[in-house]
Amino acid sequence: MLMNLFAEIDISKLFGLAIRTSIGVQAATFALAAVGLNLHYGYTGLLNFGVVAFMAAGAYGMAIFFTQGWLGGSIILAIASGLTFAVIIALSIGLPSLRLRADYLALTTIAIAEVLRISFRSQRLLDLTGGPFGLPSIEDRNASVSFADVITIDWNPIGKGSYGTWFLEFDEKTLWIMIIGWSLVSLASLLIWGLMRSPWGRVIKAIREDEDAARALGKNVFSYKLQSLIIGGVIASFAGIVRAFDMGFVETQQFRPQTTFFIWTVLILGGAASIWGPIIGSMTFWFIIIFSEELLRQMVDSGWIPEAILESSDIASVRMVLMGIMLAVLMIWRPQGLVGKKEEAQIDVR
Amino acid sequence: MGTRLRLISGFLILVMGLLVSFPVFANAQNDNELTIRGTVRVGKEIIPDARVTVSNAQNIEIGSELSGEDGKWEIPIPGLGEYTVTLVGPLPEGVVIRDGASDRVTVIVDEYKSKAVGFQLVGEDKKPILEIQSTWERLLNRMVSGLKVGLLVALASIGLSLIFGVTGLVNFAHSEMVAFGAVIALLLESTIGLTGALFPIAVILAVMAGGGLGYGLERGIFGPLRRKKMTNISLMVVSIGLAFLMRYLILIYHGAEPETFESFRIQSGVSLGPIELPTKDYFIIAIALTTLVTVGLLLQRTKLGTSMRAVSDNPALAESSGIDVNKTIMWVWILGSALASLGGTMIGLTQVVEWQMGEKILLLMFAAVTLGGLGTAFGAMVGGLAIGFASETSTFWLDNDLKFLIALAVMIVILLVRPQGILGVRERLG
Repeated sequence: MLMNLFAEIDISKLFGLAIRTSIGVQAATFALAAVGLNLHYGYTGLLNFGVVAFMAAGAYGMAIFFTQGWLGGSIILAIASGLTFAVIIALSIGLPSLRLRADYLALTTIAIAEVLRISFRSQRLLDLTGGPFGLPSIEDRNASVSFADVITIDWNPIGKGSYGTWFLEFDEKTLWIMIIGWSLVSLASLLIWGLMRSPWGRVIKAIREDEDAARALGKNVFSYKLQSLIIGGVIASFAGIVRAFDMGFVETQQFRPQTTFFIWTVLILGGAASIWGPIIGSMTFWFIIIFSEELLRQMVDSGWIPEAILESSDIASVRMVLMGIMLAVLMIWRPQGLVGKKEEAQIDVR
Repeated sequence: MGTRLRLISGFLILVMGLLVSFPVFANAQNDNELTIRGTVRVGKEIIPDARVTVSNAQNIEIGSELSGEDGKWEIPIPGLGEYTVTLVGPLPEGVVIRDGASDRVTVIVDEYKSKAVGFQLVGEDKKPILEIQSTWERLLNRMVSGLKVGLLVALASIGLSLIFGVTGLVNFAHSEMVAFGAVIALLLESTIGLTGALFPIAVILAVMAGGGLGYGLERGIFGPLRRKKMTNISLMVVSIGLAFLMRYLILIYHGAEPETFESFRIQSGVSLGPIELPTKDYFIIAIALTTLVTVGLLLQRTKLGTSMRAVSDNPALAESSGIDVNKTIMWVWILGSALASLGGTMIGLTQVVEWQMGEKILLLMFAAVTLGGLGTAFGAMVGGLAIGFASETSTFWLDNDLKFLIALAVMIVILLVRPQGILGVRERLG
């Protein structure tokens, strides 16, 4: 029986696809967003459930600036405007709500992220954000015109063609975005590593451990929290921008609350409050997701799992079920994740 | 004690009675077609023999009819969606489309009930007279519909608030209990055939299943974890994981298509003074109202209710006063998720049953309980009513897609200004 199953499964494809995704652009953007969240939650202890708001701010800030052609529509200025938008969002989340208790902060951030998404989606902003259709407009998309072209075609140093072998074969566009994505992940991780060794980082960690003690030592807790929110938010907004370049368009569907929880799962899987946590978390997360999806698909296709239990059209939903299980199980049995330290992963309402 | 119990059982019987009589009356005017309808007229003047056509979002004509002797027309449509209704005419001498108005009206049919469409015509004196209903009548109807939504949100959020009160857990999986109730009722209706007059049995079974789910979650997951001294923040993250697990299991086994309860597809409205609602809505309002009063009495007048409020106020003190805290928490879970199931079934009745319904109502419920005060059952009732009412009534002035913004904005403002909510007590906060 068991031999039979192994004969049916294409092991090469199984590992090929899983590895492909775990080093791909998606894994890079999730890692990048998780680096940002790690500063918020892992180091500062801020329960930010609105990570996706920063990603949306970055992506939309960039896309709106570019498609409107403001200031000549330079892509560099567009990216800068995306980052500025993320800073504005960080300030408008942080200034009023950072004094709140942890669980109230969680509710506030998730609500603000939804407000932002629904506003972008609104018919009233159709000319600016493209409403439910996103940016660029449907006509431009049909003509394959996108803000991503500057990055992926004009500024692409890699010659046309496909590189690599086996399942790890990428065309020049994907490869270039992958390089950009993972470079940003490395830079952001280096930044966090440096910050955490600085006096600033020690204050941040002290706030996580005992806010009142930090305050008693004369530190302006509120200001440090706000700085952490801004730095992490800008890192997360880069994730949104890279993702927009990869997909070639932005749409509100990409910024539903579930994306936030994907990133939370990535961070907790890898290990909060550790430099390698987000990177290892994202790669492992995508490996597990794609591996199990592909395994299920092959088992359903070969008749090992009867249609009554799972239909092949439902397999895409399995990733969400897996995400849910991972999040719950990790939180219960291994809150420090794969590489985190247990004593740094204890969280509580202050 | 005797009178109290009698009072509460009286209310319970009332709920049951309403539930049972519900399909008998509500089913009476079931016409089995989804239609767009209207009357072609100028003021009180009826215009017969004017052609009206309906086309779908792809601009394909799907129906056409001449207005009758009474000016009325009714065109069946295949399903929910966006339709364009065009008044082709001919119109009598001197009657024209009002300046600025169009002979085309785009409508979105998002409920299984026939949709009324009017054209703005003016007579020779160019005085605009159309209004099938006057503005205040439409506003009044919006408000009644807002009341209905508010009652259902209140019903569904009591559990969320009570569970927070007694355990400190912000339960993100609560919304999936709402969806669970609706899906179970739908499943019972379609598979076992609890349709028509048997439908209340399906509702009761769904509510019991909801209570069972609450018991299972507390017994199997949250109770043991709480005793393991896991922090509430970690438990909140666990509940998020659980919410996704449940939501997507519902998607896998229930399917992505929104469905409606077969027994109550489309109903024409019944007028009660200026208010025109489908019959089922009157029943939904009555059932929700009586249930809320029953729960209120239960909390105020019974020993169990008193201990629920005591544990919510101060668990340590409650324990030392001889209250079995764990047993109380268990009952809160059972009651809360049973109410969530009931709310979900009723929401499914007024709208559709779909796997995303939990996700859609989650933030509305959070807004409701934060507005009313996290941890208090009465706060959830007041907050639910206010949030549901405000967001539904806002569609009178605002675009439909902005109604969530109202709820979210209220929630953000409340959290920032008065995080304990309108009925909460300040000292409980850090």
